[in-house]
Amino acid sequence: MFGICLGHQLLCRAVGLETYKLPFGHRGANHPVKELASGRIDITSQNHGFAVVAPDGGHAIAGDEPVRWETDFGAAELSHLNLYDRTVEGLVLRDVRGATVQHHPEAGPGPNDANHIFDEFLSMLG
Amino acid sequence: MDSAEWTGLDADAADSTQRRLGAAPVHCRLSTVHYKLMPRRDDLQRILVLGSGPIVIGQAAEFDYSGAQACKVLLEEGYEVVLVNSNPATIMTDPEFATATYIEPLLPESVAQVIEHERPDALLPTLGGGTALNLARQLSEDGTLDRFGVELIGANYDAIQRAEDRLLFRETMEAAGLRVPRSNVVTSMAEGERALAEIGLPAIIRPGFTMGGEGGGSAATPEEYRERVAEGLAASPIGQVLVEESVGGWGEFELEVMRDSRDNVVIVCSIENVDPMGVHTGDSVTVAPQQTLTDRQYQALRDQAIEVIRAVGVETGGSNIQFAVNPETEEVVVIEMNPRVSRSSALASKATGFPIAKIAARLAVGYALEEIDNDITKRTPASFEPTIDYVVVKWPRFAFEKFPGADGLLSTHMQSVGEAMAIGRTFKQAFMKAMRSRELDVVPPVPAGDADLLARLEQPSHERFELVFAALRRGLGEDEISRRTGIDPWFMAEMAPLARGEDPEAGLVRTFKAVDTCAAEFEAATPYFYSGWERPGPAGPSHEVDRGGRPSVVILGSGPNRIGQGIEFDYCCVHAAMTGRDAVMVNCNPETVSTDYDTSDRLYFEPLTLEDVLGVIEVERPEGVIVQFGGQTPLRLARGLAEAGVPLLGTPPESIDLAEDRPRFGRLCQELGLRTPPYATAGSPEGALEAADGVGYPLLVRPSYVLGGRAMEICYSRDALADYLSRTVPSADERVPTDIYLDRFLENAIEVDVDALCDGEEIRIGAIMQHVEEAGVHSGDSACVIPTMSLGPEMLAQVREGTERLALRLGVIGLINVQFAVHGEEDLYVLEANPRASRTVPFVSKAVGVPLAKMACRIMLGERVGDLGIDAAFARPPGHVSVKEAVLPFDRFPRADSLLGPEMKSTGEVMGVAKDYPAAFGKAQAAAGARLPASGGVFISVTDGDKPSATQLAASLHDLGFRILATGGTAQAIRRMGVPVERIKKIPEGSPNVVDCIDSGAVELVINTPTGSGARADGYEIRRAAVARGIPCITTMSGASAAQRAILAMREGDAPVRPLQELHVAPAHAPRTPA
Repeated sequence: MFGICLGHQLLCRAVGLETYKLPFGHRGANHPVKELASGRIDITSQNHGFAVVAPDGGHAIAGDEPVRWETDFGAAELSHLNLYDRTVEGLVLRDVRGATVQHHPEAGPGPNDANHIFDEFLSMLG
Repeated sequence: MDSAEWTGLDADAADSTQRRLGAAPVHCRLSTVHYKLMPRRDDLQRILVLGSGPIVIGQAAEFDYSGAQACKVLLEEGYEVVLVNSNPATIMTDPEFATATYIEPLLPESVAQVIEHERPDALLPTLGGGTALNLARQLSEDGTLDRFGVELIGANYDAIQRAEDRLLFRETMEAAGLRVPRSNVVTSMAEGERALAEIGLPAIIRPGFTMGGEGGGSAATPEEYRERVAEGLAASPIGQVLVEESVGGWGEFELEVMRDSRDNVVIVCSIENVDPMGVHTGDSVTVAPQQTLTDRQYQALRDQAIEVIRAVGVETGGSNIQFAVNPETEEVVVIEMNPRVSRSSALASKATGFPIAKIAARLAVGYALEEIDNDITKRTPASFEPTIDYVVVKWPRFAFEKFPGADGLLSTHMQSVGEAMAIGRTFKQAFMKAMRSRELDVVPPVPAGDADLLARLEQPSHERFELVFAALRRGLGEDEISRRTGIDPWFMAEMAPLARGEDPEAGLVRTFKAVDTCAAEFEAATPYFYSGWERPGPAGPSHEVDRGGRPSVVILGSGPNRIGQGIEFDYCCVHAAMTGRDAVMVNCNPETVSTDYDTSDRLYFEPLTLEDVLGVIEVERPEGVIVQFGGQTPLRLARGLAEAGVPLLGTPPESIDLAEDRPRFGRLCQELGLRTPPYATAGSPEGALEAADGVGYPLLVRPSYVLGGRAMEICYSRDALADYLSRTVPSADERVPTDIYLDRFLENAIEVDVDALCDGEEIRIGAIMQHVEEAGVHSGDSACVIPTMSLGPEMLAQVREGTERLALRLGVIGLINVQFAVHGEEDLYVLEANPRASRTVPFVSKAVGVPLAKMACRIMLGERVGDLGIDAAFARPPGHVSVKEAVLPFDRFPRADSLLGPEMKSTGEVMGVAKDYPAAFGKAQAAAGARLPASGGVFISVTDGDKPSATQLAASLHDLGFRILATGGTAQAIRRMGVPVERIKKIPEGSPNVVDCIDSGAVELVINTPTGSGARADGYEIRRAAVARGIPCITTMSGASAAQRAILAMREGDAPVRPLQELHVAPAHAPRTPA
């Protein structure tokens, strides 16, 4: 299962995370999102007013390492962050086939940087 | 899958996860390795930065802007910076911008000398334009970098080659699956014929490794094609041209791309050329962001740009990538890429607020984009793409009126000398602002007939938008005009209402907006503003300016660069911003340091018209305005500002007017007991001819209020004067009320230039410069030397005395420049006085080690000259000689005469510093691109008056081992001295003549002195041939004798290199006497 935007927020809530209203929503086609595992930065389209709270209750991810914790569905990790305000931008579930991103890799208008996410999703499906 | 490649997980965990999932989880890309952020490189201590040398067409002040930013950043990061640049009129060569500053020629030998002396760890070549990049390539190829263990940072050798070598670039693009125009690389005329057969016409010819597309062009007929290929082969330093499928008429787009060492890439800005492919981007009107592509098309370009920078392998830094897009088929081809900071990247930085050069410098020393703060928001990283909520238009500034013979048509070969940029809320607002920012002296004429007008539209020329507007006004049809010009219909639809007189500002109020990189998404501490036109809120216009409560000083800049008003004035404006008050800069030139938002406390990117400037003043309420530093542009506004009640700082504008008004100034000199050449003023051509008899010939004639000696000529006879008047003075019905000034021309006089500081009561002489060329050559085109070489102490005292009297009488508060002529043994004449910053201020500041403009500004703000702490520096005995040499653009205008005269033609300047005059002169010549030969053939042709000194010169050159070649009379005179000489034919005597001789490469140096009117036409072909071959052509005897001494000095061994910082260290026992 792959969640985008509201899908990301729903899946995050399903594994026990909270959501909150951002002081300023993320809108635009130029937000840098960093994939923590690789250091890769995609320029992304964004259109959301709420965001996911990290497992430690923080609104921002302080470090540059993926944040890992155990959930009812096994190992989970926060995989992406927004470099503007370091808010949560993605989740990977390690023990079931599930992942999300907060931004819009499918969006047009907007850059194609994050198209690779769909390739990776397809390869996950085998 | 190799478990070690799992990212962020240890190997065991990775294995177990993999076993459980049976497939790679999303986001765990196989190729990634665990990374750590790798900030600042601590293995480097000392970094060599190369500047771009003199301002020439295609390479201008933008590289001072980028180089100065880079030097600042590297010093901030704690590195030692070694800088080499031959251009003294740059901020980057101010001593505080580097640890060691070398004003040396940008040639492999000189830079190698600096490397040997300084032993830098790394060389950063990506901020000094094509000059620096080519130099880095040469130093790499000749083994210098290896020998001294210098690492290239910013761009490696292979990446430079892949981007700059046409063939390699094409292969690289094709390997990456990108389409490039069909093309063939040609290294001979025979290969050119084969390429013609394969590619067909029209075709584009692009020489390899030249800047600004020099020597290139498009060809529609086989004859044109052959001519262009021959020119291109000669212009390319590697003798290579690319013959290319013409994509003329396609849309032209540029993307500014940055990549860091972690392979993250951002697009800083997209730029669309309003002029389609076929006009060099430097000569095109451009707009940012791009306006006519759909998002899908734009994203395709964006993806391709990222692929290009990766394929070329620019590891860190900025690149400019150009694309052509077929407006019908949407086909995209990659045109070229510059693996370095460029003119377009300076424009992109100014357009977005994203400082490309600064960030490129940080990337080069190890930082990643995400580790660098966005200067403007302070809290978001540089790894983002600026969003702009306004439109930016750039307009080129041409100087064809300076080069009679040049046709004014535009091509892929850049010819503009400057540019103006404007920011507006809409395309229309920005376009109109940019148009008025150009400050055109002459409104281009428009053909009367519609058919003629439409025909003219088909060939792009420098006045094309005036023609487009005229055609739109006459209702010739947007579609028709669009079809003829290739300009996108969207632009035509935007321009049509403007052409019909619609005012995009009507009913709206001027509202200052901030340039903040993020379209107001984040709070920005930006000091960078532009005016938009909006409906006011209930409380009036909602300006985004917070000027605080401190008093501010407004500095008016010099607008677009042009011949006669270039970077020297920007240099002065930047210094005026360094005095500690809140400095407010107003300027519209995107190439400059003055429009870097770091330079001033607040920057207003606005046209320099009275109305726009008053708009700024209304918001700023400054303590005062400085109009004396930006050349004629702000001076023209002085009266209007004063009438509006704006306080002007420094010398009152009445004094400036007084000095410009020839008759009043003549009377003033008389009062002060100073001699001026006989003169007269006339209001009509008839009056001028009559008055001329009283003044006497030869005489110097010009219209009043000129800059850079525009339309100034020396006439030797009544006929010549009549001819001048018929060419220059408009006929009675269109005559503007301009007076004609006539001055007796002092032949063979020595010209002397003085820059001085004055506080109204006391003065300090900055320096007395002696010109190398005789009076009559415009001071901007003449080489000059500090200290003077042939004036005795009594004459120098007279010069000081005269300067002081003038400065005090004119009530100068700030800078004054006075030009004198020493005629005969002891006659001193005042030629002119300019109570304002002059072109020579940066040169003098570098030569004597006192920043004159900064000091002048402090005087304007109330300090006394005696309290500036500069007397010790002026009292210091000069331990070195400084020579300034002008750099001329004749290679760009092959049909224009390269003869020097009273009308200024140079675009830039270089400086040579050495222990004595000949060595300094030699360095300056080499830096100016006319390196003096050590051996070979010298062609000498001089007028009768010069023959005695020419024969002496021939004798000494012969003794140095040169072959002497001469025509008729000169050959005879030389032979009489017993010097062997080869007599060659004059042009009318048939072939092989002197021009054939030069063309064949048998001549390494040309000495041709035309004085009087007769010899001028004969010499034209000789000089043109010399310029075409790039060999030095000296047109004055004084210049020739300086060259001969320089050659002798060169033979005696290399002059050592010394940094500026050492030159100006006062000896411990320096006498502290007042100047």
